[in-house]
Amino acid sequence: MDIVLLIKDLISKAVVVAWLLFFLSWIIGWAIKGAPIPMGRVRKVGQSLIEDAVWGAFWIAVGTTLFWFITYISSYLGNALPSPPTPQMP
Amino acid sequence: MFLIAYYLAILTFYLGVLIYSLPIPLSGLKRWAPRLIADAFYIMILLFCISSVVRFSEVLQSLLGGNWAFFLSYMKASIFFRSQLLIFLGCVNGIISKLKFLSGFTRIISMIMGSVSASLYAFTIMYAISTLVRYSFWTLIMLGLALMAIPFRIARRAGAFLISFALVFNTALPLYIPFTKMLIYSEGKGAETPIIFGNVINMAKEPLYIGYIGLEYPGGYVGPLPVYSSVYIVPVAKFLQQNLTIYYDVCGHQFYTNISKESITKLCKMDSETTVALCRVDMMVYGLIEYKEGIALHAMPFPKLINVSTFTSNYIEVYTDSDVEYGLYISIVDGYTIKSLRIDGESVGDISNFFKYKWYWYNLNGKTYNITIPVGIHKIEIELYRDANSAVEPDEIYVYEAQSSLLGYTNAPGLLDEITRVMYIDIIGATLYTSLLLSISAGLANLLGGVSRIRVIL
Repeated sequence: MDIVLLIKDLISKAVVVAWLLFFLSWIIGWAIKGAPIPMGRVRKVGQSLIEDAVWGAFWIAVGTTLFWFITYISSYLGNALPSPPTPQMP
Repeated sequence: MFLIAYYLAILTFYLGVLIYSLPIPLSGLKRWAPRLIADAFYIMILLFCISSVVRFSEVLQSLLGGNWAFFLSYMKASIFFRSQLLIFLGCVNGIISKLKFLSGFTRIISMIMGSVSASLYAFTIMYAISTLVRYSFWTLIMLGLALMAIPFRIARRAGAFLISFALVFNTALPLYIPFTKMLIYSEGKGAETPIIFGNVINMAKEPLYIGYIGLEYPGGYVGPLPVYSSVYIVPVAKFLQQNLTIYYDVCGHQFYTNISKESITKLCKMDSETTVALCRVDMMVYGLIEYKEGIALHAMPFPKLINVSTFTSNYIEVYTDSDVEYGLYISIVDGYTIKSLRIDGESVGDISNFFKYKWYWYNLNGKTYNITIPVGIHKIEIELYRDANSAVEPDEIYVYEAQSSLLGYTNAPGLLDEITRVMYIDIIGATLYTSLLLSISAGLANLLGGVSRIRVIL
């Protein structure tokens, strides 16, 4: 197998896994946060899980745009480039 | 390679995102997420700026006065000049060691030879590095980027080192010449002695591994100059404006080559302003089939196909194919006698019937036999006897005289000057410069691959 194809394959798998994990940790985070356990620590863990999940989702959504932006700027500087990949999302 | 680095950077990015959204609340693990994302952007920017960086470094190099073509030919010329000097010193040593009353002098000579060969080593290493950097520059850069782009910073330092190594050496190696000029002022004899070199082949396009060449110029003849493993090296400072004829000078015969009454400047298309006078002139020897240790086989006219399958000092086996009848000549020095000669397995009888003429070759005498070989495919076998006590190659003193007349050292102080220069500059300069560049690359590698220095985002 070509190594570029292998890496591309890995990228799309990582994206899928990241999306699913985002949903999972979003749900787990809210579940922990909303659980009727009167302990501040546990709630804080839930809070941080939700926060991280949101950051992750943000970066997935923004990543492609940012890569495109870098490509655009460097093509402005006169470099030859391949087009940035668009990973498929479920 | 570029694509690999590119996609690896994207992979790194998405791995960072994946770690972000992992529902495991471990701060050690989570800390990787922003790191990976930042790395990905850093590599991305580096990847797209690298050609601009390289272009900038090239501008810098040309501003500082470096030139790759000049540098490479300078290195080659230096290597050839040092090899030539070593051969010459070897001859001197061989001659002096035969004289009993100058035994201290051989030690001095061998000390000088040691330092010249050390400088040859230094130059060869530097030449190897420079060809590596020159011809696989982009491979090195891209390999470095790909290594840097591997997720989790596994090979980040190694990649950064490769990139900075390629960048620094590509920019700064050609500046070695100004650097040495800065170290010591010298006439730079090594670079300014014009040298021609090349391969020697026979008319069947087979290489002639050993032998001697001679140079004829209006008013004189220089020879024998040894040919080692089919390569000859000749400094030609004296003959730049003269017409040269080069002969293959073995066994009392001077075989014509394709260089006949040619001027060196024309042969080399030499442009003495910008390039070091070093040029490759391949040489075809007419008539000669093979030469080794005082035995020369030659033919007239040259057969269509000839294959020397065995050529030792005791036994020679040759297969030939020719459309016309031709004469095979066997020239041997007096240290040999021909025991038998067979064509297609049949002995030709008494060998003295084929005796043609006698010759002398420097300090050696010899004979030439001539056998007519009929049309068609034939196998020729020659059995020889070699007298172990008699010499079969010309004495070193002739080689020494030819070499010293070529190098043009009429006075010993000139030679000593050159040798001190060689010892000081080449050994110290080359190593110093290489280590200087290595430390610069290490510094740049730290800057590129440092973990805490550059944080693009987050």
